[in-house]
Amino acid sequence: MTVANPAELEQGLQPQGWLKYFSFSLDHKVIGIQYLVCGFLFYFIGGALAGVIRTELASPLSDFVSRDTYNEVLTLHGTIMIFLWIVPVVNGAFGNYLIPFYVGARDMAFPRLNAVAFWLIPPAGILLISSYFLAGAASQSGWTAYPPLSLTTPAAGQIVWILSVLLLGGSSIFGGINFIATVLKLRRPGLKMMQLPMFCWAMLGTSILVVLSTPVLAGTLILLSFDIIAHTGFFNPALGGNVVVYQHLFWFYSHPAVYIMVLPAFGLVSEILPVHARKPLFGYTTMVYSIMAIVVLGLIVWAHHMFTSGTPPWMRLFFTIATSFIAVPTGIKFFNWLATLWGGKIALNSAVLFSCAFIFNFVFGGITGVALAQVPFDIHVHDTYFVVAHFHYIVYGGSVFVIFASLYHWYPKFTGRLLNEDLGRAHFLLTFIGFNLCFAPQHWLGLNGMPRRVAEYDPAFTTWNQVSSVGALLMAISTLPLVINVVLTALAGPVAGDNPWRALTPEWLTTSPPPVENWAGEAPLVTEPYGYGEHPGAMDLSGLSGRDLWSTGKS
Amino acid sequence: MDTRLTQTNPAPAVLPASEHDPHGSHADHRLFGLATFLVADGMTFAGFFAAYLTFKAVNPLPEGSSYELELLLPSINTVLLLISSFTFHRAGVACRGGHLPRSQAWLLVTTALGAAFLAGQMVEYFSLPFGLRDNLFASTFYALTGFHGLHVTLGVICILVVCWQARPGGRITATSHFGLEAAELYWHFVDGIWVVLYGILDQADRSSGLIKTLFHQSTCRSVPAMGTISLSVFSFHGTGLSWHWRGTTQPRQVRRCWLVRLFWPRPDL
Ligand code: HEM
Ligand SMILES: [Cu+2]
Repeated sequence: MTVANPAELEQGLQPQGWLKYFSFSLDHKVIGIQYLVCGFLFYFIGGALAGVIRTELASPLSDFVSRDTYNEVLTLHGTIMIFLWIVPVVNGAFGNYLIPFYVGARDMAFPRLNAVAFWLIPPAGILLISSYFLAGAASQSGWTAYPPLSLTTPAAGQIVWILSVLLLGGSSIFGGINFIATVLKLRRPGLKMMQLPMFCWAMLGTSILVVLSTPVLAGTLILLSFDIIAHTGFFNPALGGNVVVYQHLFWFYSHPAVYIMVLPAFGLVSEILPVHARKPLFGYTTMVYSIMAIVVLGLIVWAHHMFTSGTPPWMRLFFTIATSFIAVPTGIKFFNWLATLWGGKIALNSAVLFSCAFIFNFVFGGITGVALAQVPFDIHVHDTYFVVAHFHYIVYGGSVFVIFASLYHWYPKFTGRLLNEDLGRAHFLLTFIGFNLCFAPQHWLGLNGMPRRVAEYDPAFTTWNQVSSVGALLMAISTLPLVINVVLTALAGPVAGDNPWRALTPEWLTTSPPPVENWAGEAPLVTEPYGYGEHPGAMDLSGLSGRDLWSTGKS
Repeated sequence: MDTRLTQTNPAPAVLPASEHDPHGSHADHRLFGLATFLVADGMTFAGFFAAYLTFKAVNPLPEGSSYELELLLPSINTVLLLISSFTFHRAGVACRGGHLPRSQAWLLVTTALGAAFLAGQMVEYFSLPFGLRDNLFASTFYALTGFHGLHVTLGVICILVVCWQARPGGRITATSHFGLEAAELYWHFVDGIWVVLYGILDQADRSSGLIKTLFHQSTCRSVPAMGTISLSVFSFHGTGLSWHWRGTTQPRQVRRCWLVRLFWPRPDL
């Protein structure tokens, strides 16, 4: 039995023009853009909250906001950045926009489910943020919501937090199901798995993690809400409960969640680098196997977050070893990216600058990660600013840098216009300097014992905290060129043409922006998505030099 | 200005495609999507099981509180659910064979069995000597069985809807019966979860000797062990399911491995 593509059937009913971005559209490209714009809005809110945190920490005393407010801000910041910015953007936005192109399909496998998954996000986000104003007190227990803290802080805010995380988790699971079905089942006839662009593999791996681990978080949060509402004692030691079980269940989701945030970014970088280096992606097969190895290993390392939770020695040993093993596939990917760049005709445009900075930051965060996996070291720095520095190097320096790189790379696809390179490079420089200024000193602070999640600290730490706050200010300023660039270009940017980067992956083999069904004619069968320079007749490289994009801003 | 005319794409390694349908209509993957969702749903249960086993292994029962489960009622319920899986299977076979009224009859039998299960569950709830908040194990018991009961309730509703749709002139016919297959897949899943649940809640503590020691050993290490076990159980289940619906969408062309043939020689019976 075959089903007609619903997007096609309902095309007549779908609103056209800008209104479609506010509608229950079934077109995967519209949904992708919806995720992207919505994610950026939440990013700005989360960023403003980060500004509050860094302002407070610019001085040792709690003098900018009250301590309770500080805790609320910190919790909202973490939750928004993870569940409403990075996860929806690297998965939802780029995944939805690109995956159907990459598998040669006209849409995702379940377009209606796709739209439902997106439309769960704005209400959940608004619910979460409104708890700050309506419920009187937003959740104060951090993005981890550890009991008994989450049982003793104001209940209304915590319940709203749980509700919105459940909605977002549901959205994520629906998205994951859709990606798995699309990659495995919707491939164009004749297209083999090992011919897919790397982003497909990354999304497949991510979605497997989403489907296996997110439900565990949902179940855990349901039990937690029982503890709060019905006064059961699952996680309440006062009632005979067990807090460590919460931590196990929580990290069974939340360690895979860090890969849910970073694996798609790996995939996106693997798409961007070959195009701008004019070379095939190095080590395709090893890339695929390392993604899958990361998926498997990522599911069995969660207790490295719990080395100080009374974890028995055999468990510490197991999780240290398993965690250290993840460095192997991660290292393989790192060297593959370097080898892709090696000897290439690299166009140093904003997309590439952000991608290279990603490689740099990610290696740094990976090294501190492996250090944290060693029990003796972790006991010293657990719950200090060292951990904060580690995961910001990975989540911001990794995933967010890749989001920016992808924005520069695919903006011409989304809109048909090229972003301005000068503004792009200004954005890159400010972000890169601001980011490192903000987070590098936090390693030092953590090593010296400054605990995380506090509004006040020992005055001995003042100088480096102020440096860090200056860095945060630079990061805030760095969004200005980005916003200006995006708005000005959308209004009057240079027309990009269909394929400004002369790329070979299927999303470029159509108009920019693409028509509703992706290709006017038949979907192309691209068996060599990275065939740069490999097939002599495949493309004309004679007019290409490493500087052309750099100097003129267009091809 | 139409930039499309001036822009020439590079010639990539694109092969001509003739057999491809130009409008993106494709095979029906909804059952696959449902199965993926059920894997996710199963992981929720796996989390609850892991929590229960860990509580059992490390948290002592508080002084003066009781946690003693019944044996007879859950065992009867298990048998009821197992039979209902079989009757649902018969309904599916009848439907695919074009005997819709017979299929409806089997569906009604399944509904009755599901309702009987729920009734039994209620009787058990009201006869047990402990309540939701009495102790840790009691809370987990109610959370687990309650969550499963919700699934059964939803299943019963789905079966009734499907039964209605299988009326003459209804949505479900011998050739187009996604709703029925989806409900069947879901019902088998809920059934399978119950078997695990029954084993863990009602049997694990009772069985003595070797099984108990083994089990206790594994519960002490339950979280990592359960992760692995549940993963393999669900992947095994998944293989079975994929085989199952392959059989249902294309009757008579079932490819079955020798192991399955060994235990279940003729699936159409
Ligand atoms: C080489 C791979 C990695 C290793 C070995 C590693 C190791 C660790 C360890 C041991 C901790 C716990 C530190 C503590 O609380 O004492 C930790 C925390 C963390 N890691 Fe990583 N990590 C790695 C990669 C990543 C990636 C890829 C991400 C995200 C994309 C990430 C995000 C986080 C976060 C968010 C935390 C802090 C969680 C919290 O307590 O709030 N890590 N990491
Ligand atoms: Cu981790």
